[in-house]
Amino acid sequence: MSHHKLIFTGPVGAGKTTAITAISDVPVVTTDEQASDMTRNRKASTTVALDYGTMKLAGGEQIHLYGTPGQERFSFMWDILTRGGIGLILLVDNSREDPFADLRFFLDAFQTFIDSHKVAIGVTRMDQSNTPTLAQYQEILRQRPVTPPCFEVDARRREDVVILVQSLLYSLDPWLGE
Amino acid sequence: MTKVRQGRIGVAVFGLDQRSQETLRVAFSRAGKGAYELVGEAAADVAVVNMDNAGVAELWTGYRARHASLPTIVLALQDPGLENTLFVARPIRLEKLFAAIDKATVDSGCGQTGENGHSVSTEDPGRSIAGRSAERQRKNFQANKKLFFDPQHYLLSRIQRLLAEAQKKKTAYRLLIATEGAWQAVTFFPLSGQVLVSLDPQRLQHLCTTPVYCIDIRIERLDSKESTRLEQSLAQCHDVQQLDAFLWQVSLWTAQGRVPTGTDLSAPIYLSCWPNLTRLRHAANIMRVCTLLIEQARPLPLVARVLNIPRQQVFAFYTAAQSLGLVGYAQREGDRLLVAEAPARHGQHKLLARMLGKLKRNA
Repeated sequence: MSHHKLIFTGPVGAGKTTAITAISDVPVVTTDEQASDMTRNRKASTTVALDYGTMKLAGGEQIHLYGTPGQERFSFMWDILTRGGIGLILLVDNSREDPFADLRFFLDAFQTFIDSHKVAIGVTRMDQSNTPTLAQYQEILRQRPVTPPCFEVDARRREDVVILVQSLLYSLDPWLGE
Repeated sequence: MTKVRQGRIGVAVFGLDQRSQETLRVAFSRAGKGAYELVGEAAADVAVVNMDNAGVAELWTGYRARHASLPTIVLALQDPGLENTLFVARPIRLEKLFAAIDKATVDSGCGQTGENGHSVSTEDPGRSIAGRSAERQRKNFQANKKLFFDPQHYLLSRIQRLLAEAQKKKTAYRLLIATEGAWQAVTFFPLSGQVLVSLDPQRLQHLCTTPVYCIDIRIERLDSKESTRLEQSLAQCHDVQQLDAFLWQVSLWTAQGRVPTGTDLSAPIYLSCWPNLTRLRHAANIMRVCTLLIEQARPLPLVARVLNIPRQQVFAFYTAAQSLGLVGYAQREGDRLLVAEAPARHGQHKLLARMLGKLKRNA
């Protein structure tokens, strides 16, 4: 059976684990460890390897949901994780010091994958920090050849995560029925 | 008699800039598979004249003086109704242009064609010109009513004007609407991007489709003290909405599947960015429409046709997106000249469809 993957990426604390939990049909496997260095003041524990969940489809097929480790020192894994991926969900934490730098960093890091697939971007923690605004994110994204979907997302709200993933699917294929 | 050389038809173009000519040259060689060739006017078998051009009257007069009998195709947003020409609507669908060139070279009599390249039927000779004209006007009026609405006749325009004023003055404004013997308030807070709505949604929806001259309206500017006091208490209010979400909703209710008057339905429209769909009311097929318009500018009726969805869905989306400043007319000549290719199906279409079905079932 084919190994279909949907990749979730973004900086530490952006809500990748929570977002995968929102749509996974099985309890998400997370390889957490007590946070150290700069991660400590954001989360008590953080994902040092990856998150893993699955969506079970009619007919027995499965979509494997992978969350990349947020820390840059694990970036060597990102290329491996994206192989065979359907598309990319990028979550950006709006309460971090420089979310635009995060946005640019992850778009650059996954550039090759995004060019051949698609990305949808969720800006999280806007309830904690309402600046920068979504319009400012859109301004940056407009400089790309095709502007990807970019929404305000609360990773704890399943409907937000569903809309974000749906936008990725329609970006990949507008012929999908309503 | 055409002078078809080496199986190729020589096409001269008039009123197109250099870049557009280059686009056509590439289209002739690729999509046209070399059957057509861009040539100078002396060697032309067929002429293509762009009528949407500054100084078109002079261009046309000069062209006709030089080439009275050359088979001619006119490009325009609307059929200019010129005798002995074939009309192809802009933006051009290549298959229509090729068909017109083929027809022009075969039939030098050049019968007129309609917007879609079909021949226009001859009218009943027994009916008077005045009668035909009146009937045409009545039909046009009825058709336009289904396509267009005038925002000035609805609450939407008052709200937009009020909002612009509030944003300019950086202060809160209140719109008071008399309904069932009482004043109901909609208060706009431009700095925090919020709106406090005391009307229930059904009532507001009804008001959005009522001619504005039938509604009793008052506008108040809040002083800074009251504005600050109210804004600080918004967190405790249940009736608070984001300004964008409110404007989006009011636009959808007002549009009822139409576009504002003056919207050019033949012009390609671009979407500058996706609306914030996690916080806006969803409309049918909205993500599919977004995908098409964000990828490349397209005329709205074409989007409906390509996606095989009712045009009202596309029109309603356009009206709402326009209220948020997310759409505009494409300025690039290339976008206006050629119709964009429809995107291909994804290689894993069925898998994606199953994923989508799963997400929707469990939503």
